[in-house]
Amino acid sequence: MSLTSKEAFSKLPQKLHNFFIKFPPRPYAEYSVKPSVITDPHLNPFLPNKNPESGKWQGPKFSLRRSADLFKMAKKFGIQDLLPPLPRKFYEEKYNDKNWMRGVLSQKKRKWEREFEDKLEVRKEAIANMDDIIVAARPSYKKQLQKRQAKQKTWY
Amino acid sequence: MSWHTAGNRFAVEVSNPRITKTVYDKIMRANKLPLQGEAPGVRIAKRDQQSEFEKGIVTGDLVYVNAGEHKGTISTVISYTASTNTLYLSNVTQKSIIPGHLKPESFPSHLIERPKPVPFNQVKLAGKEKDENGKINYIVAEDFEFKEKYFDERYQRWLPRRVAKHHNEIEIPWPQPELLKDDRYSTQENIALEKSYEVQTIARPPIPREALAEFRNPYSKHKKRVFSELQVRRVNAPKMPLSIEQKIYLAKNEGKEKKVYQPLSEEIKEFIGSKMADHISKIDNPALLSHLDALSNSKIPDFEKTLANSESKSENST
Repeated sequence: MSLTSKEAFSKLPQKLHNFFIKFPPRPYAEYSVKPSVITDPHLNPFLPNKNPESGKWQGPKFSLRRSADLFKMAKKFGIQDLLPPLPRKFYEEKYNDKNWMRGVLSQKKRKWEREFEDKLEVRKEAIANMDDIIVAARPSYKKQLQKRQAKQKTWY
Repeated sequence: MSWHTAGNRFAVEVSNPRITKTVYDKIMRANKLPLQGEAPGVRIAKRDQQSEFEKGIVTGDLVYVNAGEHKGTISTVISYTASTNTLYLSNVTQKSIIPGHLKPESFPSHLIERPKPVPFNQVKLAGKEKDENGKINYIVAEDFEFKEKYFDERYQRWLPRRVAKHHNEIEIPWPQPELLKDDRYSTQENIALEKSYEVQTIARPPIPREALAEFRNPYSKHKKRVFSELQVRRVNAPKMPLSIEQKIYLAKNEGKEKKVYQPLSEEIKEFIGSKMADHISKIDNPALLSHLDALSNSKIPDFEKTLANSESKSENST
């Protein structure tokens, strides 16, 4: 189904149309990413803004709930990028950039469980080099080793 | 110990009501007219007791005594005692002595004849029959059983038909109940049925409609249709005075023009439309497309307000 842009615009919901009349879409108007002052012509309606005269903060013109409504509706029509920058993320973006907790990514386990593999490795290595370790501690062991080697049976 | 104190030891303490009662009961028991003979057999528990109609032999029935001292007697039933399951019969009596102080003066002797209780299992139901010669024959039913119920006009209650066992064609009718006679304390039937009161109902007002004006004031001030100035002032809340801050704010914004929105330009419309068209052309799910249609048709009241406040409209109106 291919629509002309005029036909497509006629499908724009009133909620979004109303918003775009008050706050024109992005490339035609600029909006600050950070909270600014109420006299700023580029103030973002989704963010709180300061009244420089009184020094008081004014809440966002569109609450988080209303901004989420607008975003989700705009996303269904593929025009979510035209809205002013939002203070929160949605859908895939929200999931991908999420700061996961360590425990969710990998289980902590008990201390012995965490150290078990290293422990086995150390033990394996010690068993492999057992003769050298004993010789270092007790030099007379060298004789015993030589004796054992002499007694060793070979096929020839 | 004097005789006086020794005597007190055995004396009944009359001031104690409990002792007084037991002593009184003892005296009464000793001097009472003996019951109409102690009933033979054991007493029956209340839950196991049956009425005379449940048993099948009622007052006025003819019965035949088939065991005991009075075997062979045919007699009518005076009463049935459920607690001992015994009957008092008119013919079966015993002699007993009345104590001197209880004997009525009219009685010629201390020895009187009084009915003797007969156990229920020692009697059989009997009936009278006249033959062709006018001779009265008695028939004794070995046993009887109950059949279907009917409404007995004489007793004014539902009763089962009583028939001889194995001879169901022989019905033993219930006896004629003793008719109650009017005495000086009874109320006449027409007086008892006379309606001496009237049911009160809210459907009928207690006061006639014509008399209501006498009770109510039609010129009451509460019935006036027009409010006085004071009443109007009392009903309506006063207008709240403005605070100093509010006054300052209003004074500041007095000269400022109200913000007027500009409708979307054709360029912007084209831009948004092209983006939407691109997106919608990629959708092939019919359910999602119908959902988008529904969203497009959704309306909000604020949109009309915004349009009314936009520049093009205001230009048109001026």
